[in-house]
Amino acid sequence: MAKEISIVLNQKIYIKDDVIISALGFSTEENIQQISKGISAIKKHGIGSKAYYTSIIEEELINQQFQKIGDINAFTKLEKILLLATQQLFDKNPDIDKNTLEMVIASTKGNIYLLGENHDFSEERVLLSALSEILQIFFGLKHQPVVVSNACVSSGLAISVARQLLQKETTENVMVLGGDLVSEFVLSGFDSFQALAEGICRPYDKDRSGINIGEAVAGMLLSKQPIKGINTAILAEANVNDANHISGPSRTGEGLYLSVKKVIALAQKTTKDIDYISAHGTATLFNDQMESVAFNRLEMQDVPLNSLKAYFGHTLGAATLLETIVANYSLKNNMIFSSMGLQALDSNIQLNVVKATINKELKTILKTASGFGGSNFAMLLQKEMY
Amino acid sequence: MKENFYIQGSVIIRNDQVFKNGDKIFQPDINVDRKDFLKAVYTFLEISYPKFHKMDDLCKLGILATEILQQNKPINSQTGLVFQNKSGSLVSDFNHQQIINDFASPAIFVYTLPNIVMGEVCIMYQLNSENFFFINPHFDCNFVYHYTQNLLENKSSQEIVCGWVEVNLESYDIFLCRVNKEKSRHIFTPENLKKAYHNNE
Amino acid sequence: MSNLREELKYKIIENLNLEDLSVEDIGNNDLLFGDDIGLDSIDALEIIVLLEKDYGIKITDPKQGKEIFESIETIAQFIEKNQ
Repeated sequence: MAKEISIVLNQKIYIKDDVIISALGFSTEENIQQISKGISAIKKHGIGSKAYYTSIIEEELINQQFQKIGDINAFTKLEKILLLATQQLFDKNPDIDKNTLEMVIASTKGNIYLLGENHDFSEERVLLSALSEILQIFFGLKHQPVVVSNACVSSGLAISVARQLLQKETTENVMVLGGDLVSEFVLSGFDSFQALAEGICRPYDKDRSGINIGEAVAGMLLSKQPIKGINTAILAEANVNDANHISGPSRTGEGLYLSVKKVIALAQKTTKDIDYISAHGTATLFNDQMESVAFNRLEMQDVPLNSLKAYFGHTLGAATLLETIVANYSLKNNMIFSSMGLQALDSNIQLNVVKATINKELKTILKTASGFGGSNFAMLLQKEMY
Repeated sequence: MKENFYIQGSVIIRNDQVFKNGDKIFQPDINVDRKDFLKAVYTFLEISYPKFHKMDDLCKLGILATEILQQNKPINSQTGLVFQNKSGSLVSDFNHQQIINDFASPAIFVYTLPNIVMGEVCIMYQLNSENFFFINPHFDCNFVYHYTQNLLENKSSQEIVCGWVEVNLESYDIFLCRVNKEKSRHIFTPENLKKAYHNNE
Repeated sequence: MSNLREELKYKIIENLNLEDLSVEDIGNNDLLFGDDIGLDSIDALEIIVLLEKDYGIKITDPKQGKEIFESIETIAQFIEKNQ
């Protein structure tokens, strides 16, 4: 019995393909190209009665792409980006069977901005479940997509959900999508928390002053079967609540500490196996400090680590997935992107933050994220040859 | 081979009535509005937790149902949560939307995420556990069953509190159920989960 | 002058939903964030909004808030100085 369970736990899942749509571009490749050049998606935008440093995808560009596959007026902005990302994964993987494909959608706020606008969509469209219906009908999927909403770790948990769906014998592929938009709804809230940065955010820096919110959709195609050649296996994920405060991380980093411990145990690894940490690094005072405490408790303070928030902003429901896609590029190409925004490390932070892009042989990497409601998430990725 | 888990208890809060394992345990004497009903249940349960009054309705209902579930035997720190609803945090979303042109309130905004109810439950009962919040148009007992069963089989959590926590502007419907490997009269199956959800009829 | 203090107590109880407390329970010098009243970080942000909305005073540096929000007395003195 016990043996059987451990087999289930160790079942690997593989990243077959991925897509990022953000203000930096409409594919993973375009996004990687931009961040390789040190370009950030974050600019000053007027929203409502105020100006915010945030990243926004121009609707005009979305419509140019979307009109090739559907009616631009029949869908909301977020739906169009989600549909475009999904279409891209279908186009690149024509062998996907829509009768067995499962889908998981992660979002924190979906179409919530419709609450503040005059629109012709039905009232139910503000609900997250609408996204599931839209995607199922548009692509004629047999299975209804699952929707998960766990604040900033949503799209990480979506991978855990995908793993469970892949345990079904009949499921070959699961598509995971994460997406959120920038809106006055979200910005005004973070503003009331005095959490927003004036300028591009600066994770782990001594002068960091808060986050940028960004918008993006990220998508990943996961499979039970590796392909011939280089693969990325997702070894395990863990999520542990820190039971401390609904809007602030535990000062001891307890939830993140426990998540990382758990994921390493699940994958039967040790902290010494970890070559790189793609961290959360929102650039708020407390988050970055908490990560430093947690990784020091784990004795992982010397592992090269970065935050990608200064490139994309905090893309909420898309964030974990988007950053995992970039981390996967790093894994495959044996390099780590510079943790943009870092000039002088905060003296209270003892971490090996990668200041300028480096080349490094990578085999096993850790992705972490934390969010409101006490959520903490950790996941291990490993490069494998078949 | 499939491992068996068992339903240890269930709580339903609907139509201003509270049910524990199918038995009605509370109903106010007179018709009251939602806010007063929630306060009445809080008083009835003799909870002393000042933070309760700061929560939105979704969190209050989640706390009240969990409190009843663990009255006889406290839940432990490894108890995972698998919740589902239709409207997410819509009530708080509306409240936040109404004031953002004036002064957004941090105390309202913080509740505009559905998983905050799980955060509040974790804080109150000190659970360092796995949390999953799913959105679906109706209570999908098959899905919630499979997800919960898998987490228990994988030993990801020793015990799970799972169920349906729908709260919208017009109505609410709360059903939580506690599942672990201790033998009880009710094996955890999709049918029994469904039965427990309808156990006030 | 003491009116402002009473008004602040009332507003804080209302805005922060401190249902178990009444105006009489809060002393002018009670520690709002310590053991006496037990407010948290969201409450602090909510008081910042309250000061801006009702008294037209803006606090942009959250660190500044720590000293100002020590007690009803310190908030009242801050309002009197800045209005």
